[in-house]
Amino acid sequence: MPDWNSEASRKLTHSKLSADEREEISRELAGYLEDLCSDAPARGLDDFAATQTAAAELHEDKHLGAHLYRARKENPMNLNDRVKRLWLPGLTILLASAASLTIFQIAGLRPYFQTVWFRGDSMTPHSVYSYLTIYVPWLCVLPFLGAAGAYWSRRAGSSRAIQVAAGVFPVLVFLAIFLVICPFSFAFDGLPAAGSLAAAVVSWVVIPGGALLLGVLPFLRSSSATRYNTAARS
Amino acid sequence: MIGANIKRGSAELAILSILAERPLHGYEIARRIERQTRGALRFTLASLYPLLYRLESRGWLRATWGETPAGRARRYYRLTAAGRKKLAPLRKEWNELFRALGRLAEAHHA
Repeated sequence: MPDWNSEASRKLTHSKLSADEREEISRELAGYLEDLCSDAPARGLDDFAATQTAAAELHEDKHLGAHLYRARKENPMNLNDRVKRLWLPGLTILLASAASLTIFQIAGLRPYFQTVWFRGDSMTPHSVYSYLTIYVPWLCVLPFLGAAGAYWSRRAGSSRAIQVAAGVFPVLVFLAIFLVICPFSFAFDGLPAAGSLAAAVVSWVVIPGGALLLGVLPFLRSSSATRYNTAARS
Repeated sequence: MIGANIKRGSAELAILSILAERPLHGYEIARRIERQTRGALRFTLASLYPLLYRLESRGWLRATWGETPAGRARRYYRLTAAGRKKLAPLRKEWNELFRALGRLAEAHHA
């Protein structure tokens, strides 16, 4: 039997597919061609005829690589899909996380403060300190919100990357805000601002991001460990 | 034998319907469709994979690598929630079309 993987890879050589895509598609097409050959006796074909049939299918479309490339790239997420898969779940869990934090604050919850020191440099020789602000009960809620965002996004048919983005959406918004603030704070206040900003990023992006991600992870794992039984093939 | 244009139009429905039963890899999809339509619809590698990738990029199918009982790695396709949602109206449209064509044929005979 020919090496179908190499044959398929050669067939896709001049396409616009990336090396990774080409490798994956070649593997997949090779699997199809191997199955076609192994199924040949059931279809009344000998080995030679089976190989000829498989080769004919592979070379039937002169522009197979281009057609596969177009099929993969043809339908990027349109606005409607993007709303359903990212913005809607993301904004909903952003609102839910803000609402839950507000409720905890109204209920009298006080954050746990952790002091962090930042050593001075030649320009500002004195050391400064800042606080990490940690709301533990709020952090306990976040994995559920992350899971809800990822589940919602997955139900809408999104890729893993979009599921992760939808699940950690609130911290992406915080991060964007910090990225806008950072240059101005550095320009005007120097090191003291850097200390406060670093503490704020850890408090509002890194730690909550980890908590949200905890909720997202089970959804990513379950889709990668799939094993299917193909015994039904007759 | 069904004409080429109708075949192209019905190919999406055939793939979505066959995957509504269970996840399958490419070769199984082609053979099952061929068997269940008694050879009226027949996919080859060149007609099947561009369509599978198109349906995947629309988010109607999701593909993951898995193993056959013989230990061979194959890429399995399954219907997503979005694909399942798309299947019902698609079936309805095609049923309506075939009923309409049936009525037309009966009227012609009469």
